[in-house]
Amino acid sequence: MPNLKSPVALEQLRNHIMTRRPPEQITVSVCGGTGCHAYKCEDVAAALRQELACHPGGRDVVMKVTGCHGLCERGPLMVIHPQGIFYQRVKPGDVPEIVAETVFGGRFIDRLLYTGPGMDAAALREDDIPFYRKQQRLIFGNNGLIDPTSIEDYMAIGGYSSLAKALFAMKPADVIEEIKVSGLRGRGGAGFPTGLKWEMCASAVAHDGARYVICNADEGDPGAYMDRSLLEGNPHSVIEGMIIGAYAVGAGTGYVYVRHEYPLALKNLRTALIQAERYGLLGDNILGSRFNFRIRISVGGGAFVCGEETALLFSIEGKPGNPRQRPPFPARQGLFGKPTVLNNVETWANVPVITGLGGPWYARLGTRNSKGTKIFSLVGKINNTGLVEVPMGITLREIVFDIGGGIPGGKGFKAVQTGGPSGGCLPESLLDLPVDFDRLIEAGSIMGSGGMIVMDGETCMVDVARYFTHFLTEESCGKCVPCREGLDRMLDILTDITEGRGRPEDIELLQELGEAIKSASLCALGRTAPNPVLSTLRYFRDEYDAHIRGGRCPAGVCKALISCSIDTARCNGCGLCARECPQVAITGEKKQAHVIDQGQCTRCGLCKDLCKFDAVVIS
Amino acid sequence: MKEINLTINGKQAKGKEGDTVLEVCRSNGIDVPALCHFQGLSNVGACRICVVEVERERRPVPACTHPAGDGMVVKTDTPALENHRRLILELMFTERNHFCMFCEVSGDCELQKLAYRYQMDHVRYTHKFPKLPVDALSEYLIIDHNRCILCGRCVRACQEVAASRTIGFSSRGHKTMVSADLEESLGESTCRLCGPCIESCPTGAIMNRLSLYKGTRENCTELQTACPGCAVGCELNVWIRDNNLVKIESTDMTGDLRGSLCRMGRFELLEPAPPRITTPLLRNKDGKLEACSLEEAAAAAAGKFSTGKAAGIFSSRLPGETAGLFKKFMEQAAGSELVDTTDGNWYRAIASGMKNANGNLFNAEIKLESIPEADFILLVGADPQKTNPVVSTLIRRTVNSNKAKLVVIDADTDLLPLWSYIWLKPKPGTEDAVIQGLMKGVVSQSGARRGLSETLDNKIKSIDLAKAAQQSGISQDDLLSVATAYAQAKKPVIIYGDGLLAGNTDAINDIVDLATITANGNGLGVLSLKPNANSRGAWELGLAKGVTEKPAGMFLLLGDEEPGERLLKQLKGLGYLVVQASYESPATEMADVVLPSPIWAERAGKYVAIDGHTLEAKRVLDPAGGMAQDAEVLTLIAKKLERSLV
Repeated sequence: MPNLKSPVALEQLRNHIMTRRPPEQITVSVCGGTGCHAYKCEDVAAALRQELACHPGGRDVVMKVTGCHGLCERGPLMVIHPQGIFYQRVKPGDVPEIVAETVFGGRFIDRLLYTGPGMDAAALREDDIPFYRKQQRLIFGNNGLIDPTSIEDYMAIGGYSSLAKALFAMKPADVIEEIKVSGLRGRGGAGFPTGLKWEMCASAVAHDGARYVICNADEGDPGAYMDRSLLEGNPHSVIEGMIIGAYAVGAGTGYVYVRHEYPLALKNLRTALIQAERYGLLGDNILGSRFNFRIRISVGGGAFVCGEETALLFSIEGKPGNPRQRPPFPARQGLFGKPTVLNNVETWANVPVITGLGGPWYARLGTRNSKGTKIFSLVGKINNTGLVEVPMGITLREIVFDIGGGIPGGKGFKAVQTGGPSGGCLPESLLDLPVDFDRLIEAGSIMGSGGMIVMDGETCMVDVARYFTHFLTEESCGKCVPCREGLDRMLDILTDITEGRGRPEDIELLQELGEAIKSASLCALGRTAPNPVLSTLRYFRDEYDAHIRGGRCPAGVCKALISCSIDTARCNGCGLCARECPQVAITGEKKQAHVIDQGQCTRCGLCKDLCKFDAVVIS
Repeated sequence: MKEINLTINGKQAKGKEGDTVLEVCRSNGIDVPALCHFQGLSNVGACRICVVEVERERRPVPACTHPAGDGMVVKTDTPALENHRRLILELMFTERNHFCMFCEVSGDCELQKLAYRYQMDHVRYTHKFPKLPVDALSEYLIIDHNRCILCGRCVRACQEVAASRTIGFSSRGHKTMVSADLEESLGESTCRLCGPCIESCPTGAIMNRLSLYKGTRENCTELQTACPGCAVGCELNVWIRDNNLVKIESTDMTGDLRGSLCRMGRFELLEPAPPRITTPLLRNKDGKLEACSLEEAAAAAAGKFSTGKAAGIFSSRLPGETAGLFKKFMEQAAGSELVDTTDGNWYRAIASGMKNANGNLFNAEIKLESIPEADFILLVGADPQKTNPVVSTLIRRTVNSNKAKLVVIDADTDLLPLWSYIWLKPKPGTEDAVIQGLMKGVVSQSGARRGLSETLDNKIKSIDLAKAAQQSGISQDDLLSVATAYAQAKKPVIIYGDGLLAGNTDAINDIVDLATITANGNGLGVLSLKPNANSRGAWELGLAKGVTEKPAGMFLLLGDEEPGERLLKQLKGLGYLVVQASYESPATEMADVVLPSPIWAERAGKYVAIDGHTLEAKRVLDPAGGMAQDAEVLTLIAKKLERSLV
């Protein structure tokens, strides 16, 4: 195990690794990301391992289980290099054929190739797929190339060269300057300029010299998993970023705060930390630079609010994870009262790129005030569910339709919520909005950590607002009154509206509460929590009015306001609905139109889903 | 401190660097309402009532946490802010069950006052009406969660003033509750019944059970006096209504070292007491006590004193003036040098232990103010939580804030288990061996201070660490590790108490020697715990000489002290017994003559506290039944004996 004592030793090791990896090497990557795990990719990997072991040429083939490739909708995914053949929805049964035909035969298997809406021919490689074509995978692209448990894989793609550059060719102030020039803003949600934060920390008075850098991996937004996928798929990029940051601000200890719901991220991170220590990239005298730095892991209990920076600091200190009022900012008084830089996983992963390629290079990407790329987790009613990395400034339309492949089932786009549960819901009229920090705030939403939930025409926006308000009410820490009580009262009003008890004056109360919570809450959780309500009031006011004044739910979601009936003209009396109805509310003679007993019906909608003749009408 | 200038509501305001915006506002007479802020406790910015607009801030900021800066432009009363405050109040009123007319503090409630101020005549949101419990299992405190606004003042008071960490928050969001320990009832928790939580509560959520519904601030008179509970010497703010005690609060809870008060000062003084003695009593022919006039009783007492030499025992709970007069009375009227105090045996143990200390006995001891500065505290033979609770609070506070190391030497229990750095558990009665072991250890660590007396030098030389360890049952390693911490401390303090009386008082001598070794010219780092409000005052007057020969009879000036077993034993088998006391007790049962005595609240005078701090007790109640003060009674008896005490 080489304990690297100098940057030269690092380069020698890298060359050594590369000589063992000729470009013509056959490599099969199986995606081991979160989405593919759900599709049992480990069975595919096991089958491949077994198949290669049995095959005479199998020893010459390198097999990798990598991190997330992004196109989770089509998992399990497999990529065969050097050709880069991309297979999707691979089942263990496909593996013998893949090995025989593609790996050794060089022929591809049509049925495993990607085809999608608007494509003339099946895509052979990732680059041929529209989902990938419009992305710019600066941070996330390496996930598919490396085995996250192998530091040599990371080194093979240039890993830790940025660290060597920072330690030996740059002064700490130069590193900070580079980050400032790059225009990098925090990817955790608030979008604070990272370089400025580092500068604040580096210049803060630390009585005993102690400073900390912290990686916030407490990704709590439902449906968002980019930080998880980065830690699972490329932990060394985060570690390298943290070491560079620690060098820049003069920190001796770092913490990664990971939620305990991310066992694979924790496992891969632990492995990576041990490797980095063994290779002399963490610990004392890193690469012979006399710079000492260690990283510890702190496992979070899973409270959403612990993603807030001050709450996270308390949680690491072993105190209840409640946010505190700033100032003092953590950069001046953070962990254990010491100057602390706290950045999100994705921010840290950007640091080696910026240090390596330079701030000016990075600053060319993106918009005027939002530089670089951003990873979004594209979920909800969308064809290509997955993680996408796009340059800042790309429009919502490009993300949803070009990359995401549009809405399934022809149900039509209704809204997209950006930024997690406390983001705003943006309507179709804003689809051409360029996505960056400031434009999203102007539109009443937030960048957040990059969640993007797409909603189709069958979504009730009042119900959506109620759903997210409920989530946030439960996750509020309860320290400040506006958030603790305001959200709860908002939830009461929204519940009343969705259950048919809405009053015309409720709109005004919601508006007033929302504005008050936004302006007066203690932390970002409270300050953004009214976004779902305020944005739906702004863009989908007609739906509120329909609930309150019209007593109906236009999307047919709110059970108290809808009724299910059978269109006698369409019903052919197949009886399927009657057999399956959990309430036994549907009756009718065979081959005769059926009827629903409104007294029994609970409006669960099962009959509508089952009916092959579109005879169930929800009104 | 640098002066800073702000513009608040268009007017110039001055403040100091480091002030919060709220502090500057208040010191400039600008009223900014606040609920979760409590003077002297840390600020958390939770209620959001005090939010103000500060130029260049994107959104309103809480004045209580926002640091004031030079040139800052602040607005505190814009319509938007006032609307916001009204909205927050509305939310608070709908949160739980705030129905003022049933509330104990109605009329003296901060939440209610704000509601009036913002003319909150109705709320537009639905009342939640949660069914929350009322925790009434505690001896002295009641928590009605229905009235709690979760401001966290009690939580901070418990942590910062009481240094107790009993009260905290449980759960989160709108389900947050104030709770004791791990969601225990307060009565079953580690609550020390000291009460800063009550005083900090802005609503009626935490109540003093003994004061409940007895009177509001409006219909009570508030008077300041000294606490007679123990020797710490706290000042009390007493609420009086119709010559009755209603409530006791601190005068400055967060500002004064002794301001936290304790169960004695805040509650026990309000507890129902034994029947009062309001008239003089004489034992009649049938052997029963019978009411008589003061003149008769005084004459009878004088008659007794004439029959033979009396010993005089004096309660050190009584003020200095009475103590002085008593001494004079015994010497000049009763003609006896046999005097003692109710706690005289403890005095004599301390005095004999400290005979090597230089100068006035107690002047060598530390002031209470030194405890919060200490970085090492050795607690031996003392249970301050029992005898002097505020000292215990100070120790906990010091451990919390200074990271001071607390070493508990006690044969039975670790008295402060969450605060002690180590608990040394010696065999009963071997505290002296432990201290000697520590002496040896300290000297072997750092070398003895130069200029030690030869006697002390020789004493140290003669100590055998192994023997000390064997005698006490504490390992040499433990002794040495504590000695190392002691030797490294810059401001070590030893606190000892009358627990040593049961074992060996020799330990006191060793304690003084140990402190002498490490003394740094600022006197000895020792403090002996004294039991009564004026123990030190009475001792310094020379009243604790001790009854060295068997007297013919006894004069016990007991006041409102409860006679202990040791004292009662002394009263037996005497020719006569004259007792002057406030309450009926076994002592008055034995007496031939009983004279009435006012209780603490009915008398005035000076106390000398544990550390020499003097304080003035004031009369806050009229004496029951119009009884005479102790001094008048003594003077009257002297007159009967044809002596003058002037």
